[in-house]
Amino acid sequence: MKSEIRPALRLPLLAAGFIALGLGVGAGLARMGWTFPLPDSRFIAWHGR
Amino acid sequence: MISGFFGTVISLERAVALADPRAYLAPLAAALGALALVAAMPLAAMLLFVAAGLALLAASIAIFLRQRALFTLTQVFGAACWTVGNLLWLAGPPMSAAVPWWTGFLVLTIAGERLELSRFLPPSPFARTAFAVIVAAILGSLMVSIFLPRAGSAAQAAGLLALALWLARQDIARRTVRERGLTRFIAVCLLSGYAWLGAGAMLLLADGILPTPGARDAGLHAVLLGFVFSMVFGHAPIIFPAVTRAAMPYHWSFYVPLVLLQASLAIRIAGDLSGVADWRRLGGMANAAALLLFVLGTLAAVVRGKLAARGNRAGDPA
Repeated sequence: MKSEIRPALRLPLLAAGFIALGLGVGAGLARMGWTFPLPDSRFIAWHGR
Repeated sequence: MISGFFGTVISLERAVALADPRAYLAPLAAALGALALVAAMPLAAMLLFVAAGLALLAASIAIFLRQRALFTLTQVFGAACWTVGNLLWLAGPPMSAAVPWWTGFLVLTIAGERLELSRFLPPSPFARTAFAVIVAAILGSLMVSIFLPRAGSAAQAAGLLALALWLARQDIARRTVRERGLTRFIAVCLLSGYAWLGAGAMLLLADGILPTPGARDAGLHAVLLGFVFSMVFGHAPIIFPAVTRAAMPYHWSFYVPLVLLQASLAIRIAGDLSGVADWRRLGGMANAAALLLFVLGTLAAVVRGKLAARGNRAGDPA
């Protein structure tokens, strides 16, 4: 059975993706010495050396 | 960022294209993985990203079986790269082992998309063969990177350089950049993205041959920030309305985050290569500002679109 998922239901998925974008950017900034609140200090290592 | 943001957005776009509810398992798992990261649950996040990769691979194979073409096959390889990268991350350190695969995921997905859109200016049989050889070379370099990381990285960089030249030569953007409005904006994004892909590939190639301080960081950010986000900026006015059904009318302000991204990345890379930490920090902060402006600009464009649609409806005769 094939049907479309309503566009409104896609928005929470997009929102979660954009949260990940914010975290990734924040981890990059923290790696360079900027202060950025991260939920876990390992984010800096996950961003890369 | 790669699995949480790009994994969610790319697999959501693929699910919309497939119009099959089962395909939404990929963006759902990726989005949950992103939330697991926020909740500081890395193991759950890694497992969810692996599941998302497998679901995207299944959706991409389904699309390939519907339409057996080089561009759909390239996107299957892209999804496979994401899955392998996530598995390598799950397998444990060094995390750097996953980076070439995640880069392959983004680059092959975008290359497949551009090849699909080249139907308006179809490549010659020779050019199509060259594209296939480049994709095969990139995949081969990824295999090598598992056993010989430095040699694999240099080989991947050579493949990325060849791909940048292919895209710059074959993409219709070289013609559409002479148009106006949204068409020109997209072309400017694409061409600047190809320039960053080429520059990043040369930096990574140079670092692979003769390790240079800062060159790897500079090369990776030229590719993952310069190339990939120029593509995101250029494709957003097309993909975002397709996914959300919200119009995103063109406005000159679309250029603001794009110009800031290019300038700030140049400063950051100059800082990387010269070893001037302040340039690197300043460029990094301005990179973040460019991405924030892009998100705010996208939201503003959607609001403008809704207001314009409301105005049109109000103006319609009853």
